Amino acid sequence: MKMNEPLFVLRKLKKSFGDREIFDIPYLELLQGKIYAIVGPNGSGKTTILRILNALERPTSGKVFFKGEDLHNSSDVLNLQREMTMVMQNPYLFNTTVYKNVAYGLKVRNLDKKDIKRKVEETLELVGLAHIKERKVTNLSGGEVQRVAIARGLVINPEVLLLDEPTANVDQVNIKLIEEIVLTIKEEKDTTIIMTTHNPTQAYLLADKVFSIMNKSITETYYENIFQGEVRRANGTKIFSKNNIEICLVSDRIGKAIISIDPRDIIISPTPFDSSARNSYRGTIKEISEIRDQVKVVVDAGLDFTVMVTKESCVEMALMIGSEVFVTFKASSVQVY
Amino acid sequence: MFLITEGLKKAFELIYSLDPEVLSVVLVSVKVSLTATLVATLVGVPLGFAIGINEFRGKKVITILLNTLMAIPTVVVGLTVYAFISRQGPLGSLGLLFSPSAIIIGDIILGTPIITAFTLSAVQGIDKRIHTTATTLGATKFQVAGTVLAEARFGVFAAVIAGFGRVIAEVGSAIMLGGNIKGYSRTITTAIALETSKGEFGFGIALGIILLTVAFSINILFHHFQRKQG
Repeated sequence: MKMNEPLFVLRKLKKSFGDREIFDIPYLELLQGKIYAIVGPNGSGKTTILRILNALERPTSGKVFFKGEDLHNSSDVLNLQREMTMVMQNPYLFNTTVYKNVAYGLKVRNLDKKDIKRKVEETLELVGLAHIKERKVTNLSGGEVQRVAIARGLVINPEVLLLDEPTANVDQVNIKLIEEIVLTIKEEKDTTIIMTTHNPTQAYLLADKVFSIMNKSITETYYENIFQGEVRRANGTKIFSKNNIEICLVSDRIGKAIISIDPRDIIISPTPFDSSARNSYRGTIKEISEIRDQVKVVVDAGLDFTVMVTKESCVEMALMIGSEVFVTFKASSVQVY
Repeated sequence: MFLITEGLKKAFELIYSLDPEVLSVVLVSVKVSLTATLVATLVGVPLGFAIGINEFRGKKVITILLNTLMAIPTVVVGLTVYAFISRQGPLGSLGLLFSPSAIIIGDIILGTPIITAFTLSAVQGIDKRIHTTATTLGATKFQVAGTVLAEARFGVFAAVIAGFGRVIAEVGSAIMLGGNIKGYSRTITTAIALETSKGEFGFGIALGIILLTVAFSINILFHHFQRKQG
């Protein structure tokens, strides 16, 4: 692979099941060593994208290039496939011990026993399961199953790790553990991770880049502040209304619509913010949480607006739960679907 | 009542003294059944596996046919094989009639459909994710197939045990094809049939007990092996 060449290039990629079109991606590049998160509702085709990237499924039309090679038409699919692995949302563990499950990928690659043992033990250590390596998989909790599956993928040391909803079926403690595992991989290895999640906060926490699947296409807009309502014409502008809140926006569409507002485009201020922005609302803070070096603030202003601010400005403005604030954003920051 | 108690007494005497005639009958039976089960397994497991994992036209018909063959009366198999290997039959020159080999041929025909059908249903019943999981972890097509078979192993073991059960217990074709020749082609079941008709209840009951014991021991062996694999 040439330097700076993207790891994956998706060209005119379309997938349909029968008459139903799942997605249509004109062009997308994914770079080596980055963590990508794909956010979208159930049934939006997140899993299908991962399966296509892993050559487990063929696209209806279009091509995926992996390291410059046409993945689905390569004469050497096996070896391309062996550079990546996918951890399913509901992982299947082979009916044997934890150790043998993790060793599987190395065994099929014909590594010798000593190497297998060393690598499996290292990886089990990383996911915090070294103490149960001899246990039968039938006696594991949901979170442990997910971690065994992640270890089984990681042990291969793949260039690409595809994680399908890694925390969808696990408890709070394991969600934290799995998120930490992903962050550790990010720090210690050069693995490219492409994960799907329906939790935007998690996507933002873990990924370098967050994509969302909306209306059959993949965009880089933030999958947050999503509202369903109606757009109507009023005084020469377009107004979206929901819960008696009216939002000015720029769009040709009239009628039922879904809108989203990138939380980084919303300004939060203790007093009314003097600007040309068309949308400004008063509300109270109902949630504050830290995500890496940012702070996520949820403001109830009739609708719940999620806003991202830096730690510094959060301290400066003395934002606290219950504080009265104003949220302000431009009409052009509103995406309409 | 007297018959039964006398029979049981005789049975224990024969077993306890390791009667040479009883021993010979047991050995023929075990040898014939194990050989037939082995061959039926070598044919039936791959066949059942191939039918199970592939989708093709006529799969339903084959499945129904296999299920029908599982219920085929042993005398019908005996008759058919007889027709082939008797002196006037197409394979008559091989001189197989009234030999342990003839019983084995009959038993293979009886055991194979059972092992095939049970393997087929075991493979069809396994989790569809196994295939994807093995593939995404880098397995070759051949390794994927091996993994699917390994995950279906409990069902496959059950198939082999069922096949063994059918052949060791069957009597119709063994009598027709083996000829029940003392010390040569006499099996436990054919001996029981003969001795009972002669009024030798003790001998019959002794063999009945032995048959159950042999079946039980072999099942324990299978079970142990299966547990070790699990």
